[in-house]
Amino acid sequence: MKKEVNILYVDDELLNLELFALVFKKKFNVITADSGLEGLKKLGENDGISVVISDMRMPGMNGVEFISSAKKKFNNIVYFILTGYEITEEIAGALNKRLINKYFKKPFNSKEIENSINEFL
Amino acid sequence: MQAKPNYQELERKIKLLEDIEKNNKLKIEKLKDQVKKLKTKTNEPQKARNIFLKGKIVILKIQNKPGWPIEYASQNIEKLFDYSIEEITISKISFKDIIHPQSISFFEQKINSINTLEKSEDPERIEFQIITKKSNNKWIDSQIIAIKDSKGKTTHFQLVLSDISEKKQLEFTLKQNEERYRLLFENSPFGVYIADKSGNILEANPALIKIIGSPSIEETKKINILKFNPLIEIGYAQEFKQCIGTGEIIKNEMRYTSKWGKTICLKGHLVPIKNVKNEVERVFTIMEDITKQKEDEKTLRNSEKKLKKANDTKDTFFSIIAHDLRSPFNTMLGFIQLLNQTFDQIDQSKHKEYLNLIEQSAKNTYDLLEDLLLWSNTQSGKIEFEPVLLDLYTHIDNSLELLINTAKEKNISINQNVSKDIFLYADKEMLSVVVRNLITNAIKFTNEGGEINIYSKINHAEPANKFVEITVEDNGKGIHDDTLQKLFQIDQKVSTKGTENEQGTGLGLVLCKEFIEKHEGTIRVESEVEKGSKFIFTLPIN
Repeated sequence: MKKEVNILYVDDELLNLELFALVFKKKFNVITADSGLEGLKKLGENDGISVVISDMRMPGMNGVEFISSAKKKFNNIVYFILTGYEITEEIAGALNKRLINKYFKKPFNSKEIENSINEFL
Repeated sequence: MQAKPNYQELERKIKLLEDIEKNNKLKIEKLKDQVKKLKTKTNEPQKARNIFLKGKIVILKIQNKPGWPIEYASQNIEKLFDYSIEEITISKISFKDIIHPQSISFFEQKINSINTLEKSEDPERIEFQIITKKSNNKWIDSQIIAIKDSKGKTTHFQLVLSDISEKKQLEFTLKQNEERYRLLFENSPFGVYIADKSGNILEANPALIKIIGSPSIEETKKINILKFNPLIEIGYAQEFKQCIGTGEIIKNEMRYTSKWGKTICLKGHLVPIKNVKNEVERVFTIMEDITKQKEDEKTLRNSEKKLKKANDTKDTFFSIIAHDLRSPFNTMLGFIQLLNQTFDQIDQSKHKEYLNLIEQSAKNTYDLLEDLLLWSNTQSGKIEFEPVLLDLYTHIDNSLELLINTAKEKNISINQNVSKDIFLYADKEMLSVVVRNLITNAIKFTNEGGEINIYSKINHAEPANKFVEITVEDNGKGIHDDTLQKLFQIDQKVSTKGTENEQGTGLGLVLCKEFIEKHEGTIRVESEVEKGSKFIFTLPIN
């Protein structure tokens, strides 16, 4: 039985999108977007998205900027950041302001992500 | 018979005798008085003499003969010369023997001039040294008169001497002290001036003149500190007044343009000098020119600012690099794990797919690392700049060789139109990296069937600074304006995917800039979205 949890994963690297989808397709329903803009679009099109995980460094809107925008419209979603950065001021600020619940470092640990998703839902 | 004397006659006779006695008594009194007076008169000189002899003034009478034999000396001569009066009169000591050798010619000179004077009304007064019997040096003040005979010829000289050795010593010490302070004042590297409480400059030393750029001490003394406008404007006059008012040392620092046009930074102390009533009478100032010091401070601050900025830039850069290194590992590990976990559930084509992806990621990481190390070496100065004379056309051609195939895969043609007669000094390795990077970028961002042109132009604008301009032009995607600014900055590392999603390290252009600047050249970009880009770099031709 597949859990009907819809996750939106945003990352400008196609390989990463593919990877994420492959890793989690058995547990969750993964929707991908390759930029902040596309992420917002997908959120508008899909009502059932309950989790958003975004990369930090993207051209145009970065991860935190995208989530700030998204949260204004889609308040009920759980947001996470997945990043290759060490914790930066921006990320720390987002954590403090409860913009995101947690942040994961790349390379990601699939167990850690799975547990956190289940925890916050 | 004789008549008996009459009573009246006797009385008359007695009276007569009494009168005579009276007169005689008076006479005796008178005589006594006179004797008394005469006695005192004869005693006075003796008294005076006694006082004189106990005193320090010595009288000497010398003959106007060679050596100046001493004919007469007052009784107190021993105190002055250590020779007793007997020694002097009996042994017939010459005055010349007593005069200090250093003073002899001077004394002789004076004696001769006195000699030749017509009238010797006022005594000549001179100072000279003697050596006493006990070999003590003494300074003598002497008044000299010439004593002439009836024919007007000088036979003797009369000297009135007094010992001024103590006075001379005091004078000498005072002079020494004065000399010492004057030396300090004149030679001090600090500007010093002394002013009275009305603000008039009384004294100024050479260092002060130099510091304020004044032409001379006289010109400086014309300034009154309390009335000179420039000093009032910068508040110095106020501080001067404060020093006098409070009687305390005032420290100040100011920026000052003197009336002779020199702008300097000065640091100084205003020191009040008080009189016995503890009132401030004078002010002396020591000041130092700290203009250079201030400039150095400014330079240091600027340097610090620059360093900090560079440091911040590096920090940002490393943060970006850390991210960019982690990302491909993310991909590699992810796919390796996936492969591991689902190996038996997926077919061979999927295996191949994942392995390709892993290979690609690994290669990308490796490229990034290589560029990173190269950049790091340029920063730490490990890359030596070794220019050699090379032929530009050939060199570019060689760099192109390796890339022709990559271009072929996208059907892109590369046209090399650099002049064949340009020779310049450049570092082979560095130039290769630049050319390779620019061509690789051009290929990456140009669509199928596109075109890349490389050409050169020599700029003759300044004959002394001839340089060649090399352009790598493509008709590909072009670059957005906001990205254009960031291209060469390391803290704005941008890695854009090519038209076929080719990955880059984002460091290429940063390296190009470093290497071109090592040659003292420049690099810039012109671009229009969807039309193409031009990367233009210059190299000096000497």
